[in-house]
Amino acid sequence: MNDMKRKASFLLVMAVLLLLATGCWSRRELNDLAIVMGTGIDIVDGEYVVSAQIVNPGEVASKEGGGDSKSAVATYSVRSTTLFEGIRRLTTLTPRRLYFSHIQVLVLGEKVARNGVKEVLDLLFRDNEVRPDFYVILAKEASALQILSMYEPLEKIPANKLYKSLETAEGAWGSIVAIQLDEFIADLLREGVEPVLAGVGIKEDMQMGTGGTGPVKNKMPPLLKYQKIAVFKEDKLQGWFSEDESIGFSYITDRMDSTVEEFACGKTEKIVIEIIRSKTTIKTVAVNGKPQVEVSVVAEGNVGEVECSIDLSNPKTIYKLERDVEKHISGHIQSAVRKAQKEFRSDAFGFGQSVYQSNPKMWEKVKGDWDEIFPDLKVKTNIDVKLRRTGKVGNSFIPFMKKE
Amino acid sequence: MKNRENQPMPLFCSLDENFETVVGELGNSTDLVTRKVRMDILDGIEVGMLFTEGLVDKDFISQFMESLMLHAKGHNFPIDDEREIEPLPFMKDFLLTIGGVEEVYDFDALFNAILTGETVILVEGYSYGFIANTKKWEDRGVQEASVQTVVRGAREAFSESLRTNTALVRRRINNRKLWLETRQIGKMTQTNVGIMYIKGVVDETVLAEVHQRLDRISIDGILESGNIEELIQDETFTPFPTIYNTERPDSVAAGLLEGRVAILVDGTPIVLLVPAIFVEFFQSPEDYYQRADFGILRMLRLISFFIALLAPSVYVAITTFHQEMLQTNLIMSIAAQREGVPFPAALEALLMEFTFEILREAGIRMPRAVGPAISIVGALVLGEAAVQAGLVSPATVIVVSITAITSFVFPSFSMSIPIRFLRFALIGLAASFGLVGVFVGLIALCLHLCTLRSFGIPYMSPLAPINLADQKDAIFRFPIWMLHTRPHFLRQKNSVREQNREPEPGAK
Repeated sequence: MNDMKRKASFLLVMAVLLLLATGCWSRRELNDLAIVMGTGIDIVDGEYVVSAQIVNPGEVASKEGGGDSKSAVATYSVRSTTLFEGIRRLTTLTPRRLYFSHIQVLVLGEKVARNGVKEVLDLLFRDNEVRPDFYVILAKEASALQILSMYEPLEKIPANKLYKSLETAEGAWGSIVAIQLDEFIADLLREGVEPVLAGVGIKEDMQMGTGGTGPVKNKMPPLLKYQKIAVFKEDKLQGWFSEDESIGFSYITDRMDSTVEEFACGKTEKIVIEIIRSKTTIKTVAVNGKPQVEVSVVAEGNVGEVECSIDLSNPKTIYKLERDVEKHISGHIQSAVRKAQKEFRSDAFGFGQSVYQSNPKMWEKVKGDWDEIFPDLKVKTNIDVKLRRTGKVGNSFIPFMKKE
Repeated sequence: MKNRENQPMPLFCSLDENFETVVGELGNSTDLVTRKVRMDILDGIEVGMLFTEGLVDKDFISQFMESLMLHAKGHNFPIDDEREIEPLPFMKDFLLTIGGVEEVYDFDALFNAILTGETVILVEGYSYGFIANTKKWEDRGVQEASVQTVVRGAREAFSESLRTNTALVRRRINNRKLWLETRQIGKMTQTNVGIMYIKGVVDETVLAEVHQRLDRISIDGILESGNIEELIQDETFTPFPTIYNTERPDSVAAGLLEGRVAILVDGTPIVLLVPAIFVEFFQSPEDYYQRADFGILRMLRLISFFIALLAPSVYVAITTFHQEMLQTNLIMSIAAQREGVPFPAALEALLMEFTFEILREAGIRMPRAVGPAISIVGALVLGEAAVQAGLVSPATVIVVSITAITSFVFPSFSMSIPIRFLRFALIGLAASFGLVGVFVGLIALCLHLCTLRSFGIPYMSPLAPINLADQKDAIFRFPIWMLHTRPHFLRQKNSVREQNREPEPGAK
C-alpha cells in the first residue's frame, strides 16, 4: 500500500516536471514583437519586393506629442524570389521578430495583380499567424512600397489611414469597395462571380488654404487617395472601373450605403441629391432558355444642394427629381455593366451567382459557357427612388438674391 | 481526579479536608477564594464557600454572604425549635437566593463548577454540597459587526460569550422548537460548544452527522470555532471552505430557518453553519433586506469572483501568447507600456501580485499605529514609483489593482482565501501554456468543486446537481413572496416556508 503510494507520488512528480520541462512553447513577449500594420507586395524585375510597415508603439501611444521625435512607423522592404523567403529575410533588417496578426491592409502592386495574385494570397491565407480579415487594396500607378510609406498628416500610422479612409469612403461615397482577404478568396472560389478590389493612388499637388490667388500657397505633401474599383478575372487584374462605373458597381452589388448624385438643372446650375439608403435585389429570369437579369434598386434620398430656381414645395417637382435620379443611377449601372461585359468580360457583379441561386438547373446548363454568355447578358434596371426630405429649408435662397 | 476504579473521587465529610484537597489540586492558585462562616443558628456549624475570583458575580456573592452573616447571628429568623434542622436542605430552601442550584457529590464536578464561575457551598459534616450558578465575567458585550457589514440590516454581532450568542439567536427565533445542545470539547479546555437547530425543520441526517463528527473530536483544546471547523470538515485538501462561518446572528437565524445546524463555540464571535454550499459565500444578508432587485448584485459578486481569479492570468496569457486576440489599438498601447520593462509579463504579474499579498498581510498584522506608513509605502512607492522607474508596466498595475479590489467584494472573507492561492497557480499555467493552460486550470477547478461535499450535501448545489426551484435563491434572489420553499438540497421534513401570493391592494 505504502509502496503504491510512493510510486504514485513519484509518477505525479515526474508528470509535473515533464510539464515544466517543456518550457513556454510559442511564448513571445510583447516588447519583442514588431507589430506589422501593413504589408506591400510588388514585383520588380521578376522578383518580389516585400515591404512591411512596423509600428513603434512607444511613439504611437505617447501622450507627450512632438513632431520632432522618432517616427511612429518604419517601413522595411526586401527583394526575394519567393514571398515567404522575403518575409523571413525582412528580419535581417528589423531588430525584432515580425508579427503579422495585426495587419490592417495588404497593398498589392499593379503588376502583381496583372500576373495573378493566387501565390501571394496562398501564403497569407495559410500562415496561422495572419488573420484573413485585413483589407486588400491595389496600388494604382504607384508601387505598394510607395503607397505604404506615404506620410499622412492626420494619422500616425499610414496603414491605419489606408484602413480607416477605406471604410469611410465605402460608407459615404460608394465608389469604393472594402474587400477583406477572406472575401476576396471566397469570390475567387464561388461560381459565377469574379473578385474586385479597391485601388489607391497618389494625388499630388493638392492645395491648402485659399488657393489660387492667395498670397500664401501651401503646397501639401502628396496624399493617398482611393480611386476606383479594380476588376479581376480569376486572379488576374483586368482593368479599372471609372468613378461613375464604380458607383454603378456598388449599386448592383448592394454595397451602396450612402452617396451623392449630382446633375444639371438649368444651364450651368446643379442639383445634388444625397442617397441615404439603398437596397438592391437581383432577379434572373429565363427568356427563351437564356438567362436575363433584372437589377432592382430601391433608394431613399434627400435633397442636398440646390442652385437653380425650382419649386421644391411642389410635389410635382419632387416627382420629377426622383425620375431624374433614377435615370442617373440607371446610367451608372448600365455603364458599369457595359464595361464589364465588353471590355473586361468579367462577371464582377456576380450575375452568374444569382442565376445559380434562383435557378440552379439553368446554371448547370450555362455555367460552362458563362464566359461567352455573360458579355451578351441582357441586364434590365428597375430603379425606384424616393426623396424624403429637402433639408432645413424648402426652396433655395439663391434665386431670390438681389440682382446687381 | 479519579480513584483506582476510575470513578470520580467523592467529597469528604470534613470541610477542612475538602478545602485542602481543592487548594492542593489547584496548586494554591491565587484566584481561588475559600471562605468559612460559622452559623450560630445551625448549632455553630461551619459553612464553606469556594469560587474563582473574576468568574463570579461579586454582587451576588456579597449578597449571599450578607444573608449568611445575618442568619449566623440568629436574627429575624423564623426558627421552629421543635423541628430538627437539616442544615443543607435548609440553606437550599431559605438562604440561596438564586435560580440555578445543583448538588455536587464528587471532586470532578466540583472543579468543573469552580472553574466555570460557579460557587460551591459545602457544609461541615456533609459529603455533598451545592453548586450555585453565579457565573458572570467581563466581556465585550454585543457590538457592531466589523467583518460582515451591511448598509441595511441588524448591526449586532456575536461576542465571545456563548450565552450571549445563544441569546442573540433565540431573540430572533422565538420558538420552542429552537433547540440548543451543549457539550464540552477539549480535554484540557473543556470548551462549551453549542449545537443549535430548529427541530422539525432541520435536516436530520446532517444533524446526526454533526453529532457524530463532534463526538469523534479528541483534542486537548478548542480555542476558536476554526479548530472545530478543521476537525469536522469534509475535505482538508481543498482551498474552498466547506463550512460557513459568520459573526452575524441574523445570518445564523436565517440558516437555522433553512434547516441548517449552527455550531457555537464559547470564546469566539464566529459561529459555524453547516452544511455550506458554494453560492452561499456570495450571498450577503443584505440581499434579503433590500428589495429583490438588489439581489442582482450577487451577479456582480460572481463576476468579481472570476475577475479576481482570472484577471492576471488572462492578462499574462493574452499578452504573451495571444496578441492577435486584442484589438490593434489596444495591443499598441499595451505594447507601448511594456517598452523598456525588463521582466517578462508573467514575472511582472507575479511580482506585483506577490507584493500586493504582502501588503495585505502587513495591513492586517501591523500595529494599528503604523497603519499610515504602510499605505504610503504601498500606494506611492510600489504603484507610482515602480511604474515611473520602468520596472513594471502601468497595465500590470491596473490588472493587479482590479484583482485586489474584486477580491474584497465577497461578503464572506473565507471565499477570498482560495482565490488568493488559485490566482498564482493560474498565472503559472498562463505563463507556461497561455489560455489553454488557464482553461485546463478552470476545468480542473470545476471538477474539483463538483467533487466537494459539505456534510453530505454537494458543494455546488443547487447548480450541480441542478434544482430549478432553488435557482430562485442562488445566483439571483427572487422577490420574497416567491420563495415558497426552503432549499431542496437540504432534506428537511418540512420544506414549505411560506404561502404568499403577489402583494396587491386589498379587495374593495
